[in-house]
Amino acid sequence: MTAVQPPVAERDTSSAIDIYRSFRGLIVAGHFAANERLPSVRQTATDLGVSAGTAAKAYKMLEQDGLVITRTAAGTRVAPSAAVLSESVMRRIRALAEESASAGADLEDVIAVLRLLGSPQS
Amino acid sequence: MRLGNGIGSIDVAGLLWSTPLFSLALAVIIAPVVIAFTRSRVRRTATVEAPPAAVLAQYAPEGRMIAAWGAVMILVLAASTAIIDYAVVGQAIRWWRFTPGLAAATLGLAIVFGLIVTRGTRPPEIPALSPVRRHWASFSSRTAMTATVVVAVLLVATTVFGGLTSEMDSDGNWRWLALPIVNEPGIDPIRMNYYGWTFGVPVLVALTAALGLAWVALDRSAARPFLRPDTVDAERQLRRQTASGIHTLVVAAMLFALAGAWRMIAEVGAVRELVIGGDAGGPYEVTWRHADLAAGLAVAAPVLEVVAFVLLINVALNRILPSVTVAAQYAARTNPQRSVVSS
Repeated sequence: MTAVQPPVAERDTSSAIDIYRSFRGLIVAGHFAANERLPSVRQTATDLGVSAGTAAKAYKMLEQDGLVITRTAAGTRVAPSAAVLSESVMRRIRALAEESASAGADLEDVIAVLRLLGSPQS
Repeated sequence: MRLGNGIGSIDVAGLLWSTPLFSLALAVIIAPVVIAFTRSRVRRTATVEAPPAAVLAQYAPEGRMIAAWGAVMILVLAASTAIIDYAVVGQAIRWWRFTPGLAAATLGLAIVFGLIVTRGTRPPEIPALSPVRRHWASFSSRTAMTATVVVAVLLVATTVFGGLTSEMDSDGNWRWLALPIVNEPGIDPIRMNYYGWTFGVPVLVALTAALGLAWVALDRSAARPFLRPDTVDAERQLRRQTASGIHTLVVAAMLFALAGAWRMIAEVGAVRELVIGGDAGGPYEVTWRHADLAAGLAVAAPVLEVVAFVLLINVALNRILPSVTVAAQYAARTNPQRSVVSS
C-alpha cells in the first residue's frame, strides 16, 4: 500500500512549525544574545533542505511571538526582551568555549571555575 | 672582498637581490622550515577526528585545485619575471607588468569557486540546523583576514601614490617621474621610468577582480549546507582549510604585485641626489624628496617576494587533505533525526 503524502502546503506548514520550534527553543534557552542576527532565511532553507518560503514562514511566526525583530537591511535579530544574555557576554562565552575546547579543558571544570568566580565570596 | 673583475661581493649580493628569481631560490630554501613548523602546529592543535570518506570526497577537488594552483602561480610569476627582465620584447610599455600574479589568482579562484558550487555542494543527507549566521568571513582566521586587508591596503596606497606623483609621456602613458633641477628652473626636469597610472590602473582592476572572486568563493564555501550533523566539525575544519588556501593565493599575488611596484619606485630612489656639472659654471642638483622612502622599499621588496613564494610553496606542498585510509578509521556516527549543531 502506498503511503498517502499530505498536500504540499500542509507539509510546508509542518516544516515551518518545526523550524519555528527549533529557533524558539534556542532563543529561550539563551543560545542567542540580545540583538544577535539569526541566520539568513536562505541559509536556514539550504541547511534544512526546505524552500525559502517555508523558512520565511517560520521567521514570521517568531516575529509574531515577539522573539525576533525584522528590519530591512538589518536582518532578523533576537528581541532584547527574549534573550537571556547580552551580546558582549555571549561573545565572551563563545570565545571561552572555543578556547577551552582547543586547550582540551573539561567543560565541567570551566563551568565550576566560572561559578566560583561569580559567587559573592570570590 | 672583491672578485677578479673588480666586482665586489656586495655588488653581487645587490645584483642577486634585484631579481625576483633569486627570491624564489631563497624561498625554496626557507619553505621546508616553514612547512615543518606549520605541520607540527597543526598536529598540536588538531582536535577534530579525521573526516568520513564521503566528506573528504566532497571537499577534495577544491583542496587539490588550491594546491595545484599554488604551483601554477609559482610558474606564472617566475615566467612573467623572466619575460619582463630578460626576454627581448622591445621597449614597448608593458602595462601588464605587475598583473600576472593577480590575473593568475583570479583565474584560479574562479576555478575553485566553480568546484565549490558543483562538486563541493551537496544537499544535506540529514538536515542540520545551524543557528549561527555563516558568511564569507566565518571560516577565515584572524591572521589571514588581517594579512589580506593589510596587503590590499598597501597595494592600493602604493598605486595611488605612484599614480598621483607620475607624469604623462609624449605617447599619453603615465609612466614618468619628473625630477626637477632645483637650482636651474629653466632646464627640463630629468624623467625616469616610474610606477604611474599606466601600470597602476591595470593593477587596481586585477586586484578588484581577485578580491571579488576571493569574496565570492569564501561566501559560497561558507553558505553550503552541512552533510550531516555528525560531520559538521569535520566540515568546518575542511572549510577553514579552503578559506586559508583562498586567502593564501590572493595574498601571495598581492605581495608579488606590491614587491614589483616597490622595486620600480626604488629604482628612482637610486637617484637620491644627482649633481651634474653644468656649462654655466654651477652644477645641476637633482633631488627627490621621497628618495629615502624609495631606498627602504628597495630592501623590503625582495622580502615580500620571498614571503609570497614561501606561501605558494607551502600551499602547493602542505595542503594535502587527510588520506582516505585515515578516514576509513573514523567511526562515522549517524543520527536519523534532524539535529541542531553548534555552528
